[in-house]
Amino acid sequence: MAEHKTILLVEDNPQDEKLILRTLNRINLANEVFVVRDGQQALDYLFREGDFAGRAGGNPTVVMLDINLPRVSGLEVLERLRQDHRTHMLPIVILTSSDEEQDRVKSYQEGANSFVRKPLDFAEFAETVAQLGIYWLAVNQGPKVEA
Amino acid sequence: MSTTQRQSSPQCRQKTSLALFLRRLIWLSILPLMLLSLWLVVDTLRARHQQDLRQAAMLAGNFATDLDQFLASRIGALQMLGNSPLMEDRSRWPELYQEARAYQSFFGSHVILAEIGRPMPMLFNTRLPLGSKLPPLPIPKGKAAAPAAVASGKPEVGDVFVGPVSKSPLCSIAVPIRRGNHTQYVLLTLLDTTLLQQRIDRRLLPEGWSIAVKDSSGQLIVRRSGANHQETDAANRVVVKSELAPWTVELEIPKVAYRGPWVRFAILLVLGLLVTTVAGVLGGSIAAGHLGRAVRGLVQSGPAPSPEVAEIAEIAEAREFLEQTAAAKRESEERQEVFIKHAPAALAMFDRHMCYLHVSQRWLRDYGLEGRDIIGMSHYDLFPEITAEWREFHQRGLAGEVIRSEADRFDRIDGSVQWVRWEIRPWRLAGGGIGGIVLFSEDISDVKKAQEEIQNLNADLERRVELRTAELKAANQELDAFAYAVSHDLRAPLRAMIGFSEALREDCAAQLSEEGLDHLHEIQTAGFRMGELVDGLLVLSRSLRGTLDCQPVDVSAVAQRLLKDLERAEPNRMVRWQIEEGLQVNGDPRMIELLLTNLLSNAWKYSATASTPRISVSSERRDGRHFIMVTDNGAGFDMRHAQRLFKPFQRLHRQDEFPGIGIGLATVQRIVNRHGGAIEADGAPGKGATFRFWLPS
Repeated sequence: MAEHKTILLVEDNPQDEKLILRTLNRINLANEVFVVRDGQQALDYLFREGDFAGRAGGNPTVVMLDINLPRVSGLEVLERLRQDHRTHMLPIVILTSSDEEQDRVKSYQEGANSFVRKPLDFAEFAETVAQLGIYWLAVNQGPKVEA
Repeated sequence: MSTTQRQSSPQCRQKTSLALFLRRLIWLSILPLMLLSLWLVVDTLRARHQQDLRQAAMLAGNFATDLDQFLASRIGALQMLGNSPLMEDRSRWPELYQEARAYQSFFGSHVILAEIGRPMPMLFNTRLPLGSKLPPLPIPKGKAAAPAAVASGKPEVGDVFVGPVSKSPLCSIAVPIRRGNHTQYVLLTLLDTTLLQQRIDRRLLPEGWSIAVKDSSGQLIVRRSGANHQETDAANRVVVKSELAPWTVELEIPKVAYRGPWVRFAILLVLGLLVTTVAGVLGGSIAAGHLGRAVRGLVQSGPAPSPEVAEIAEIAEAREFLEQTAAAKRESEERQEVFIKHAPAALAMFDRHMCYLHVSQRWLRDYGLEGRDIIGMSHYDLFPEITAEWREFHQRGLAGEVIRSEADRFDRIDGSVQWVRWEIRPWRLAGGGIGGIVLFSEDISDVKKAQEEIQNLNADLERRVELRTAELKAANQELDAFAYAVSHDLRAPLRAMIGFSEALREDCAAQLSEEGLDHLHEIQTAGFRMGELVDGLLVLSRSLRGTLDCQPVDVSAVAQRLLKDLERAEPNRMVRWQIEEGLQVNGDPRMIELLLTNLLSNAWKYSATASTPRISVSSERRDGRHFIMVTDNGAGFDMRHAQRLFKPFQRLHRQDEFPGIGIGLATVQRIVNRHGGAIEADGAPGKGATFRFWLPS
């Protein structure tokens, strides 16, 4: 790999996190995943602030973002990322339990690249997550991301 | 207390009393009659005068002819005498003399024979014996017959003269006697005028008339006159000339005779006129008095006049009309009086000087005037404390303005607040002038209070509605948040349960018994079931959220699309469906689609038991409403449980018969209700079901 591709998973539900990581592990992508538990952490990580001030490495290849998050909601995180020049083109996939139309519309309005509902069925869920991982890390050609 | 206002008409015409008018009328009627009779009199008199003149001319003519005959016979006799052969021979003149004597005795006048010369020697005169010494023929003054006869060579009659012997008036007739070519002798006869007088006296003459014969010098020869004849009094004179003599016959009608009829007519006329006038004036006066009394009786109130005098029909009609009018007026006034007096508002009518004309009892009560008779009294005298502002309002009203206030606040001395609605309105006389004003005032304090209360209540109500709306909004938001939370927070644990059960099965299948694996399966099934319920709840809550965006929706097209989708999802199902063309409702397109989706899915699902499944979408008009019907011939339901159909999570079939969570029809009903429509269900077990709904257009 000429370039180190990573996923930032923003997920407050540890069980969902476990299931997602388990699935990604199956397709050998688990090592590439960095997990934060709320919106603020996500922002700190991406803007290298707070706990993550001066962290090594550049932007992740893709951010998997839940909407219903403690402290700063997923949609607000999305909005702030799009306003900042460092992250305004960063691929962001909304991965959520909600199938509310207003959430979906709002996400796209704020510049989400994809909106995926977490299925209840585990097999289906696993399949979806695997597809997402493969697609964004292997298939999709992302924008040139500055460190 | 009737106050009758009499307004003289602007063009004030001079008034004429009925009596004077009638007198004039009578005079006017008599005048042509008088003129006519006057003309008749004049005409009659003139005709009579003409007749008199004609008669006079005839009488005068007759007498002239008579006179001429009288003269002609004498002239003829003298000519016979002159032509006698005895004339030729002087010796036979004694015979001639004798013949002349015979003539004298016949005619009663002497005969003279004179010879031409100057003077004329008389040859004989029957007055004297033949041979007597005779003087020459005396020639009287005026026209003398002898010289005239000599000059003209024709018999001539001379003027009257007094005979030298008889000393009585005489007239001479001379006949020339020609010998050869010239006149040699003249035969004369001297006519005593008494002969003429006898003739004239024999004439019949109307009384008073006179007739006279005059000679050429105007000397009177004879005359016969009326009783009181005066020479200068001749009014009319007819003159006829004698043909043989230079005399004239003059017939005179004296003025007296002529004036007589005039005077008689005048007297008669004056008498007639006097009688007519007196009768006319008397009749006129009586009629005028009668009419005047009758007419005056019309305008004076009181009983009808005594019936002994026959009443004039027109007057009686007028009286009846006036009485009716007066009765109507009285009634109107009474009504007005009652109307004003008992009006439940303070009402007063003033004249131009602000004196009371009418007043309502309420006014008296409101202004502390109860029990007082204030009609005719001045408002300002009663209330000297009236402010200048109000006096100005009154003046403006008297100037023709209508002034009103819907609510005027009056702070009373006792501290209370009174609200008054008032109006000042001018009233007009029949002639158009302003007669005064009508003041109206109404204490609307109670109304005002009630209004304020209503306003307060309304404000309170609005506040409460706002509060409730806010509460409802908050509740809705809470519900939204709840639904949101459900979708997220209930699903996450479910996903974990299902996910980790699966992980357990995958990772630890070797360690688990058959029974353990079965338990895992049950956990997963329950999880899925729970997930479906959660999704159902979400759908249900969504059907109540959001604003309605109503527009015409093509139900036929949507139904066709949905049924085709169902066909594609289950291509092995053979369902015959039929959709009526042109079905339309007015509603939110997304919700209508959800509604149809639920109804058609149900129909699709429950018609699975039928041998030949059929679904139809059609319409029906009932009670003025346009129903849309979705009918299937499937499992149907028991009508006893119909009311449970639309309740959420209530099912009429077991899960193993027809899977489902019982949320579809609940959603349908909520959508219909949100649109303000209604839905009803009809069915029987095994006979299929029909769902009818209508939405307001």
